[in-house]
Amino acid sequence: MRDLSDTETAPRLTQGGRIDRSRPLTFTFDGRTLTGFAGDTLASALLANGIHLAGRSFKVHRPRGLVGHRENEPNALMRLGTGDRLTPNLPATLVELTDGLVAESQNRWPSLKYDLQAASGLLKPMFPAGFYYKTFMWPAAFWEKLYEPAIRRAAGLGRATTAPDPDRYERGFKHCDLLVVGAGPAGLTAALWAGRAGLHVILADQDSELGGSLLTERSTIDGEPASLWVDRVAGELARLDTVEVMPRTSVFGYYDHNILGAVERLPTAEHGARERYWRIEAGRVTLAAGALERPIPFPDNDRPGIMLASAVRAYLNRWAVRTGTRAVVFANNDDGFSTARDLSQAGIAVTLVDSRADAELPRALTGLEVTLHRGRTIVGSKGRHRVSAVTLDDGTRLPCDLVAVAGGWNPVVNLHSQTGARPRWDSIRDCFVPGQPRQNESSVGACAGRFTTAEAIQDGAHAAVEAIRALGKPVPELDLPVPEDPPAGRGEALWYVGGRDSHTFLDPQHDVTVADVKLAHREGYRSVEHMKRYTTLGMATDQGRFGNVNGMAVMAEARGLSVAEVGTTTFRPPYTPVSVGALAGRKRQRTFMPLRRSPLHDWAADRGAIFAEAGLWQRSRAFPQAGESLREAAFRETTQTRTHVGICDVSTLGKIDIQGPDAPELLNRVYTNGWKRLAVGRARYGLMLREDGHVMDDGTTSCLAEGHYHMTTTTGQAPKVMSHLEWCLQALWPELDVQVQSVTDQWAGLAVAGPNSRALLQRLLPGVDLSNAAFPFMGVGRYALAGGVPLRLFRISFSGELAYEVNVPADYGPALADKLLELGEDLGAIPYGLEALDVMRIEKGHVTAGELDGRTTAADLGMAGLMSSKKDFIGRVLAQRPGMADPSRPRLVGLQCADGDERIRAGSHLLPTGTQTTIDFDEGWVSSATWSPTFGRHIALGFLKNGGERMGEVVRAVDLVRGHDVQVEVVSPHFYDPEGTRQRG
Amino acid sequence: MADLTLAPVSPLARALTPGDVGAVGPGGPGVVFRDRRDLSLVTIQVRPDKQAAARQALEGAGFALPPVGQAARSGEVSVIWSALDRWIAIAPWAPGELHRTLADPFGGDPRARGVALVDQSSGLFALQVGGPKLDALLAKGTPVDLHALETDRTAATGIDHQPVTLWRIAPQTVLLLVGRAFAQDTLEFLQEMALEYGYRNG
Amino acid sequence: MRIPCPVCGARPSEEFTYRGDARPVRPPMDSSDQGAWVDYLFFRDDERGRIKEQWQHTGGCRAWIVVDRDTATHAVHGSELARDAAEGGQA
Repeated sequence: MRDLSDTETAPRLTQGGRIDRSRPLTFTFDGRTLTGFAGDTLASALLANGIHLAGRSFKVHRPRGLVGHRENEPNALMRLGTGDRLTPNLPATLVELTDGLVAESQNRWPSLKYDLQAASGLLKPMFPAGFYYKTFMWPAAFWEKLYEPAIRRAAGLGRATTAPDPDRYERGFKHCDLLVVGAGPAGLTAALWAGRAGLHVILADQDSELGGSLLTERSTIDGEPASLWVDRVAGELARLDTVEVMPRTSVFGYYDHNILGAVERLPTAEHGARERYWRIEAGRVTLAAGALERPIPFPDNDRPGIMLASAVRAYLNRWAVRTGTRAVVFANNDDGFSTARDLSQAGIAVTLVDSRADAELPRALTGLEVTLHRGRTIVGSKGRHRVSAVTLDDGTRLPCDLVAVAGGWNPVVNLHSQTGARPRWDSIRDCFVPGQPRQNESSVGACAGRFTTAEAIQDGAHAAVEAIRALGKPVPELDLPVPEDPPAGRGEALWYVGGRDSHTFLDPQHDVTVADVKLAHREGYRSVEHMKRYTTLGMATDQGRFGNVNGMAVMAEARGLSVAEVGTTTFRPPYTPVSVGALAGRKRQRTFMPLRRSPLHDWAADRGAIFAEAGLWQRSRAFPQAGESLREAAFRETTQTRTHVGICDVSTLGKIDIQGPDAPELLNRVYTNGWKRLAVGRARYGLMLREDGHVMDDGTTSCLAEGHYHMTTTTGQAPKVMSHLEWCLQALWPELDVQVQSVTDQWAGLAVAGPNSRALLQRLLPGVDLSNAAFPFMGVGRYALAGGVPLRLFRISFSGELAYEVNVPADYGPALADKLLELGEDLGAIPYGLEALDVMRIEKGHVTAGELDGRTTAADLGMAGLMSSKKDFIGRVLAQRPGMADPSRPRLVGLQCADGDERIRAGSHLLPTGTQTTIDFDEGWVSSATWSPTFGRHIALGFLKNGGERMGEVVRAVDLVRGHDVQVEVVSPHFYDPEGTRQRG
Repeated sequence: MADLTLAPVSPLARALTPGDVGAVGPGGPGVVFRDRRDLSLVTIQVRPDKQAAARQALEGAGFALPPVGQAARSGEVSVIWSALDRWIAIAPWAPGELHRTLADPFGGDPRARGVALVDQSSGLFALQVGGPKLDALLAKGTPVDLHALETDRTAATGIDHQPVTLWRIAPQTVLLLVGRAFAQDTLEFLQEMALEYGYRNG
Repeated sequence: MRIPCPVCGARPSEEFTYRGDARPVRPPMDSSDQGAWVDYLFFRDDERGRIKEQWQHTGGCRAWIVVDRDTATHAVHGSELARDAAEGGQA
């Protein structure tokens, strides 16, 4: 043999492949600056720089090299990026090389080459199959203090950053007649013919380029290199209006009703997102995701330089990388021949070890320097960071720096399996193939176990025809290209090479060996699902794509069954890892939930309001003046409103427009009290129950005109009440002639409360008689302001003061608020917020969300009188159940500090004095509490057993969480103006 | 006497400030947002058994009550389907005028004919979204099949999970009706999604 | 899941709000039979297979609908407006 020149031994070939040598890209790997080309993956660029050693295994930190070129790569997991942009655990094979890319290997310390934990394989004995289960049974203290910290240091994959992700992510929806997953020969053909027929087609492939296996194999179509056909088809697809080609898009999940999840990786752009999660609704799905080659595990099969044969060919043919200079090809099928051919033609010395005793070198290999060892297997290897030799079962020692292993193919049945379909074992082709579809999908080409290019093209065309026919469109006459495939003889089943099973790796990432599977069998974990969890086979980031089928075959052998009888595990989404960022999209931080803005939101913000979340709403809590705390502001606002007048934004209350002659009947059925005699221009308080008899909501409803009502609900329950009314009218009583519609957003609402409120409103409505006689408590009026702006006035009071609620169309809300403050300046008008509103309603004894918590009854709230006995209403019957009607239930009471001025806390439990603080003595709870500026002491509302009969009694309000225990006196909940003379005055 | 006129304020007064944002190329922005508060919106809700009669009454007055998922235009007034038993009349008039115009065909008392008219001119916000990237933008927010939403078709659906009514008024323009309280949030969502195409607030 | 709204056509289930099994029949108005109400409200068979369910298209046309769905396979066999179901069924 002659000496080879540098060019002839350099990993990167000087010509060929689909890389763009005119566009060099610089990247770093573990701090080393390296160069690749446009069209490279990180994996191909590393190999082109002579780097095989790419990671350390999860448990035992053995040096591991690149073995694949697709999503089955178990070893070369990288952490990409710097600073806040750190993504761990990405297989280098799926990372498109970009200029400036920063990659780091993982799971090694201090460096990839000298990992101390790997010294003498110390760790392996610590991690037998079932390690996790066995370990968890040890004494807990042992686990926490000793083992877990040690294991966490030693094991584990890459570390993520803890900083917030600075990138944007998006989500979106797509619809198509036909979704084609995978753009190899089958997928391209399906998309092309369906597209030509005018179908809406989406063709998605995780690769940056279309072509699939045609990019990595030296095949021809119509006598030309297949890549020319790929380019032509890609060009035509780009011109078809109804076809959307989505490269860099991984379809990772197949859900019910032909909904699929996909992640599109986007080239970095100034304004763009980094990834986009697509939810695709597809009429039909063609699965053309191809097949993944599987290994033949043999003792010491985990050394860098031992690769899958398909990857060796792919790196050579697509990326122009020689992955070694002296190769041993180990095969149980004819792929060994094409591998030997490609390598030999690239000037690499090849020895072919074929397990088949009858293997014959095909004519394609004649003239090439290929030595054949037929009927032989590899039983061991040597080499530290790179394989240096293998030993055959006849003792032959073959020096080499590359071993290409061709163990047959596993169709990618994962998406098919996610639909709930069961892949079946094909005992002729020795692989799982798709079973009976459960959804409108079919698998084609290698994805269906039909491995030749000719079969792929036929299947793709057939899938297109089916989709076209299903839509009733004319089927075009097919004119299919003719590929040339190498003759593929049948391989033989060879699932692993026996010998030293504890060094024969099935799952190199999790260090699961043949011995582990056999141990699981001996210990009784025999079902594949049990075996998987016991050994963690297939639970690494490659999800078993590398060695799962081999592992099942080992189990089948141990059980004396066929692989078909043992079956396969269930595949679940995602097929390939999906970043949480893509799933979350924009739903984080401020945009985690939508924000509902009151029409007075900006108005309040301009006046220094402090906001609080109330459901999706932001409500103004108070309007602190310079130097004021929130509390001080709230108490000032309370006092000013009680002595003068305050205005408060109540736009968030639910408002429902009710129209139709049967409206009073509807109100009668949904409210506990009677509504038949409510006159036009009057409002009434109403209580609504659920069917189970508990209080659902309360509010006032006003009669605006004959057959026209305006209902209000609490802020929180508004959507629920709306749905409830729609339910009543659509499902329960469609015969009622009533229509309902939410007008919450149409009207801005302002409460105008305080002794000066009448005088203030009189200035806004100079022509209207607002005297108590003309516009009494619970009166309602409709007026027009200048320019015809409608105004609705309700004389209702939540504060206990003389008060009104004013509604104008939302667009006019801010101007109305300004106008009221302007008109009321000399009356002492101020804005007040939710806190003052809450203080005043507690003083008045009005109930709100704290009391209407879904567990209270009308009687609990002291409103048994509102339960009409003269008519039926929702919740009537079940509110009479014994437990609901029990007179000793906790009843609404007022509470005030028995002596001194200690704070009472909402959430405290009420207990009698002189008992132990245990749940046995629990008699109720505090639902709302405040300091009352009006009374100058702390007051509260709560529920106490037999509360109505215990006025004057002293009980304890105990808050164990915050360490409070105060003596409180039971009083009427109506602290303020119990006779109601102020609000009625 | 004090001046008692009130000036209306758009919910997007602070979110739709005129100008170009994002990747606006030489070909102009991919998307244009317009505040259509010049339009009044009155919903027409009709009991199912009264819809034929209501349709007849409205047609007699020169209007229409289109089938589910469609819009009909007659002069300045468009009536679009928006929900179960519900349509929205849209016109560049004052709300009261539109309300009266719609009540007339029902003898001024629509309630007696199973028809409820409700002014939603402030309750629903009308945002016009147009431009060559319209569909790409909408696809990031709405689950409806936009292939099927042809001109003068409407859909009751969501944008970023907020309920909206979509009416495609031209091949590259929709009128999007969203509850007023969500208007700013919805616009901000669309603006962020439109960054990559470049957008104009106009 | 896609749910066929009888008004809007097929939409993703995220646009809908689930209520429950549509088969229990509400006792007639003015019925005071507590047992019947308890049955109506609280007792469900939780069957595997095809059942009728109530959903509301809250993210769309707001129609209350009855969906014929298989709880085991999630296959949906059809849907109708709740008011039509009420007329045909329980009244």
